[in-house]
Amino acid sequence: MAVLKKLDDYRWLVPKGYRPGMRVPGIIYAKESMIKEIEKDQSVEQVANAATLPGIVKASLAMPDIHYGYGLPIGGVVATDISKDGVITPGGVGFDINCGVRLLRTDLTLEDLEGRLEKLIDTLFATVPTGVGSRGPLKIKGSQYKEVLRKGAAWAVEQGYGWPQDLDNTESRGCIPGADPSLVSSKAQERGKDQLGTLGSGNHFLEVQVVEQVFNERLASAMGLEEGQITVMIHSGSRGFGHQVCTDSLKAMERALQKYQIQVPDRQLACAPYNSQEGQDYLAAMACAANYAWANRQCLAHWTRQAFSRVFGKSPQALGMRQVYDVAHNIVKIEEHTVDGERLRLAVHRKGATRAFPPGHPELPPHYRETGQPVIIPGDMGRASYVLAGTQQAMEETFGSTCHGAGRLLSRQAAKRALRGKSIQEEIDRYGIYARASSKATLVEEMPMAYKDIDDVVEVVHKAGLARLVVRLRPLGVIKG
Amino acid sequence: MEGFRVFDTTADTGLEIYGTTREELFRNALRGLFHLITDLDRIEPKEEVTVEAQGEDWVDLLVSWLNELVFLQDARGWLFKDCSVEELTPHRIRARCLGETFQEGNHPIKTLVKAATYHQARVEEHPQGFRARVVLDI
Repeated sequence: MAVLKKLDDYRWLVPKGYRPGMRVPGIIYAKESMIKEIEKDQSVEQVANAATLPGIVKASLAMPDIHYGYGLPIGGVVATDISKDGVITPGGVGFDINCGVRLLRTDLTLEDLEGRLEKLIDTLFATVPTGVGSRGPLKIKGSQYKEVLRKGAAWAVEQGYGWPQDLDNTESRGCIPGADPSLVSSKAQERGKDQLGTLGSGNHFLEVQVVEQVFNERLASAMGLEEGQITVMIHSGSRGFGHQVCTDSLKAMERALQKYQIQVPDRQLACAPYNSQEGQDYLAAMACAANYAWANRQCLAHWTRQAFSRVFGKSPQALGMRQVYDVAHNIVKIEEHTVDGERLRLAVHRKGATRAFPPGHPELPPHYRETGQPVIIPGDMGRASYVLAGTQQAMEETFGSTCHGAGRLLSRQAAKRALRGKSIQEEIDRYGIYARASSKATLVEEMPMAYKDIDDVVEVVHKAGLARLVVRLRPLGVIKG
Repeated sequence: MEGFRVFDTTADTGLEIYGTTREELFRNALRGLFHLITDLDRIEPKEEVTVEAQGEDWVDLLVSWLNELVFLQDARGWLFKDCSVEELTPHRIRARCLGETFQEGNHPIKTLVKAATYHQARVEEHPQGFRARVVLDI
């Protein structure tokens, strides 16, 4: 199927004629060897579908970790002009609002972990609630609940879960303004009340890693990273709270389609103009969910530090457990970008895509003004994860966005079939990692071969200029739901 | 024949649901959902809960029905084995659901379902009855 037109080694065009109603073309960032796989599922069609959204500017974009989602593909970036008729679509964010990744560095090295890795992972597994039905140790209610939703990570820091400087090292300082708890249903509040400070299941994880390779000494050093050092990566989101906010909003958006006479090729792309009650209500409710997620990762980071402290008999400060950064990869944000020489206020939807702001951007804390924003890219649990840095080219080309992870290759059933005859333990041992999970099924579904090779994904964004490689992290041990 | 079939998309899972009547279709949707979450045989029909959902049309009602069940599972730990549909119009369903709440050790959890989606969701009538398709975010 030669529908994609090769623009260069890393850019593929979905022409405006791919389907009727496209307002802009689509651009997929990928290398030749990935294209066959991308064309196999319906993700190209989903890139084209998103190009029909009212107010979309420049192009419907997809990162190299693109795969089939619902509504927008995973890896999709869509920006709409909110000063005109631009829409907001919950399907461009997804159910796990502000799913994201946080990275902590330590002063520990591989040597320090010798003989202690299993104890460390077991301690983390005992300290951090994981899996289905897990309840966090925090019980939030009433006015406290509202504070979580309004303040995000800052709420957790005020309660003693974390350090004030963690907020400097979090995208948007861990809080989207404009959160209005009165616009969140009682169902969402009920789903979220016992889940704050829990990891969740599926692809969420908490991983102990070692910096295996440094690509850029200057950037690595500015981020406090060096070869042989131990890091911790936390991947989680807004839990049942965010899922319910999305479910509720989609129902409201369904009705808005008729009201505003908007036609979409897929009901999961239901949307409303930014300048409408429905659009504003979604943004205010989504902000609550985003803030919930930041408070969640802040609590998870705190318990991680406590677990390390117990195992190594030193305070988290003495272990140098500073936060490198925290990124959101399922979110819509109001940002200013230049499109065809014109400065526009846009609603940038990133669904399985990471913000990657360049050096000098005013939203970055002073210590990252010269490096660009740290971009944290989790891989599968066997091979690797990466830290990259945002670039000016990403700002000019992709609304300051880059990839978000490896991207799934095999469905969950296919992963189970692929394992036939072998135990998941054999598969995990092959990579030499120590894993603890609440559910064995999760380990099977999440095994490395179910994912695209993360090396290919980051190679594309690095060579396309959408982020710069900083370090490669190799997993040592992981806890999962 | 089971009243549902599980199909896969790259990242998520879907249910194809069958029923000779619409009531049976909605009942099988419940069974399909809890089959994905746990082992239906391990759920004891100990308690009864009346569950309601509203929709704009049949597709919206089916998605809303599944989402109501997802909510009851995630927020309150309910696992349902069966239901009897008492009222069903394109805009509303009310059913008595039989099951129990999640017990660690008793109920192996296979998948956590985040939500039912509208993505390519459909409900079709054919000579033998009804067929529906829903993709679930897991």
